[in-house]
Amino acid sequence: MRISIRFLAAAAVVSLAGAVAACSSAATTGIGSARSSGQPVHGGTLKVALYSDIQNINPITSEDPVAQLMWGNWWQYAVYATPNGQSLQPMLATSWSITSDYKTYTFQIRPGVEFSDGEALTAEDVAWSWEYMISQSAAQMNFLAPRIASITAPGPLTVRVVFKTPYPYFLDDVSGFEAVIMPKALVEKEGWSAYLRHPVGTGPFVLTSWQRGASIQVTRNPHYWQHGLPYLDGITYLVMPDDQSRITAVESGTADVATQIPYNEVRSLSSRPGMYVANFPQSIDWNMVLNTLDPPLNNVLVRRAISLAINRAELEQAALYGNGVAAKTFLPDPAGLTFADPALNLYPYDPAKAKALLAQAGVRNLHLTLLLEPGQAEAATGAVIQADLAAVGIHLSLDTVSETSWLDDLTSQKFQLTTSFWQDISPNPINQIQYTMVPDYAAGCCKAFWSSLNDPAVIAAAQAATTAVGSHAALQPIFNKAQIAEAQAADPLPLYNDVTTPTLMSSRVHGFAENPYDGAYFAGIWLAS
Amino acid sequence: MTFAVTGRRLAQGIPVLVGVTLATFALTALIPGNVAQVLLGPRASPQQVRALAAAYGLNQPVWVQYGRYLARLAHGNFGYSPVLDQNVGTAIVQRAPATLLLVAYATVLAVGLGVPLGMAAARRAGRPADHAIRLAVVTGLSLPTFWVAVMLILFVALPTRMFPVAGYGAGFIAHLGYLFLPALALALTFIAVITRGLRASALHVLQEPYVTTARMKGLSRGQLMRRHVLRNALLPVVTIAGLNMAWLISGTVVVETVFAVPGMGQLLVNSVLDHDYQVVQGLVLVFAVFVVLVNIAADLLYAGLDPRVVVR
Repeated sequence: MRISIRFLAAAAVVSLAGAVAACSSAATTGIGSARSSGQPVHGGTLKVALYSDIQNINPITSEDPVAQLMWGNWWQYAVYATPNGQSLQPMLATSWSITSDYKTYTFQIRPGVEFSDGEALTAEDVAWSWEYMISQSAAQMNFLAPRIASITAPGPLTVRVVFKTPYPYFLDDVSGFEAVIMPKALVEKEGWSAYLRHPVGTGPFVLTSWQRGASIQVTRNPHYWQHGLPYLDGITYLVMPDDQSRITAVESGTADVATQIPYNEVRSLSSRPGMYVANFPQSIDWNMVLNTLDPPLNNVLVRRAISLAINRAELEQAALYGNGVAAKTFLPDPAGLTFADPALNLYPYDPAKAKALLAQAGVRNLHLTLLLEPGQAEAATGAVIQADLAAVGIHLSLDTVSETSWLDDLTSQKFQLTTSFWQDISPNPINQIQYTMVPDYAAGCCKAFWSSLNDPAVIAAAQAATTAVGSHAALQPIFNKAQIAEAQAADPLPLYNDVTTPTLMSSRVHGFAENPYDGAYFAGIWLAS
Repeated sequence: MTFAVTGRRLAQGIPVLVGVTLATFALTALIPGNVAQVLLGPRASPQQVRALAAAYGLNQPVWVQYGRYLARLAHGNFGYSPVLDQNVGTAIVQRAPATLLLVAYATVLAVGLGVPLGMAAARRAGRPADHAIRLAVVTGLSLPTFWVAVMLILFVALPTRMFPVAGYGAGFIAHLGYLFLPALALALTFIAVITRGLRASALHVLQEPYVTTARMKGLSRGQLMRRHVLRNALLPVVTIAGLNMAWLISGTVVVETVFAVPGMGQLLVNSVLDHDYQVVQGLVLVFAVFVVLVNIAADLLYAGLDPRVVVR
């Protein structure tokens, strides 16, 4: 599947400004949103310190989470995930219906919506946008191409998608990936490359300038379809790769928002006057991968022993400073759309049982090497696992190498143990299940998360989950079986979930919200005077 | 004569630059790992990795890649950055103004502060003012630039809120405001170098017979220092300044990163982190060209200031 080419750090955007008004209660309270108190104020320019510039603005080929975040300024989706990531709600589609066999989806498109050039949004634009993205061989959504029979616009505001076989995840897919809605006539007139230089969409802002490596400026879309929004006149994004520079930019008033604050800074920054830290949810699952090509890691008893020897709660504290959660299943939190079920508690800490399993396996004086990338979280993870395994008689050496060497060793499987992560880029759970549990996931990639595990029971459970059709409630037991099968095979071993993205904000900033798939809600942001 | 000398010096710089290209190319080639795999990520299929490697010639022997790189350079083509999705030359040109202005700004600050301090120390040699200046200079020489930059943010920018701590601003006047603290951080060591060099040189000049003669002719202390001591004492300082320009340029890498100045230094750091080796090679070459040119300019300036010096 094409999704397989995406870099682990990629994240999907569900953007949408207008969403804030549509679900203001969700955006102004609870997880996923910044504080929002008082009467919103119109006007002003928000200054955001970004940790990286947009590296590739092309949604077909972009691996870049910053670009995907920024799309939400000017592009929107038909459906979007709420800030807590646990449900899908209307955006450019006001409603939809799905046949009971999950083969036909019919969407009603919101009337009265205009693109930023003043042209009206039609069902034709939506159908064309989906068709265009799905047909691109380099696009993530290309994995849908063989499944889809037709995408049509039977009415001016009606879109119909017909699948060849039952498929229950299309709403998830069009809430993320590259499923942005574009003006068909304009793209066809200008050509794709020219269009990308001045992208036109239905979002609350328009891209007006981009000084590579320095700043990006967006200004209010005068044709924005939600009355009274956006509140801001514009947003200026300042590129500041250095963590401390972003923090001091907010402290000094040079910026109002600093993205990607290091976890070890969160506590001290939270107590500073004039600013606060907003924790936006994200959905990242950190794993330890065990290479099963060679003994003794091809022995499931040894792998289970290693899993039982790791104190994941302690590990999470060391690596994420309490900003995450210890893994209880290999699917990331937040639960809900992803079928993650932490109640299964599949990865307990039991060193006594770990010793017993090692004895049962007949393994003594075991020496292993954990391959690590450079990084604070990786170093802390290595140190804690080293101590935990020592307690059950396993001597662990830590081998920290450059990112390039790590990637080389990972993909050529020159490692015994290593750490890696999965980030959800849409609520669709089947991609992670296939990547983790099926050895030949796509075009020779990726050997069951590079573990080379080829367990028929695991593969069968994955197949059952990824081909099952039904309501979320009906599917949950099938996905639970997959999670249990993965835990019994003990490879890869989930360690902890990275569940928040700390973002530093000036006290002036209100109404900023993001969902777990890096979709940001820009229209509802306002600056207190 | 000057044109001939300049041309000869420029020609002498070419082997240096070829050596720089060889060194940077060899270093990036020696970095372990598959660049195509890094660019595509761990979930890329082997076919995709092979296709990208072929598209950028990464599957060719290193010497072939180097030959093609030199051939491209000869045509003024620095290559293409898959990370930035633009030509390397364009990326460098876009970021060069911020770096050049920063270096010029730091030079102006260094000369503007270093020359008066050096002359004041020489004029008051052995007295408390001299000791104080020398102590400050040694301290300035000892402080790492990144630390100075952070301290300026913490103890100057944040309490006073007079100076932006990040960015470049829009328009020349705004640039000067945004770059003041970065330039000051960058200039500190340069100030120390100029002050020390000028003090030592001025003390030597003060012993010269023509200074005694000038003094006997009744010139005031100020006139003496300006007309006779400073001009002659500046000669070795020009050499020192030329040599230290390389340090000043390398300092932009740190300062631009701390102050988020969108210049070539910041681009270099980002490119290293992104494994964008085409950009790294291009930037190192541009920095090397800059250093070579500054050193040639220092030689010519030296000859201009002292007619006895003949540049060959």
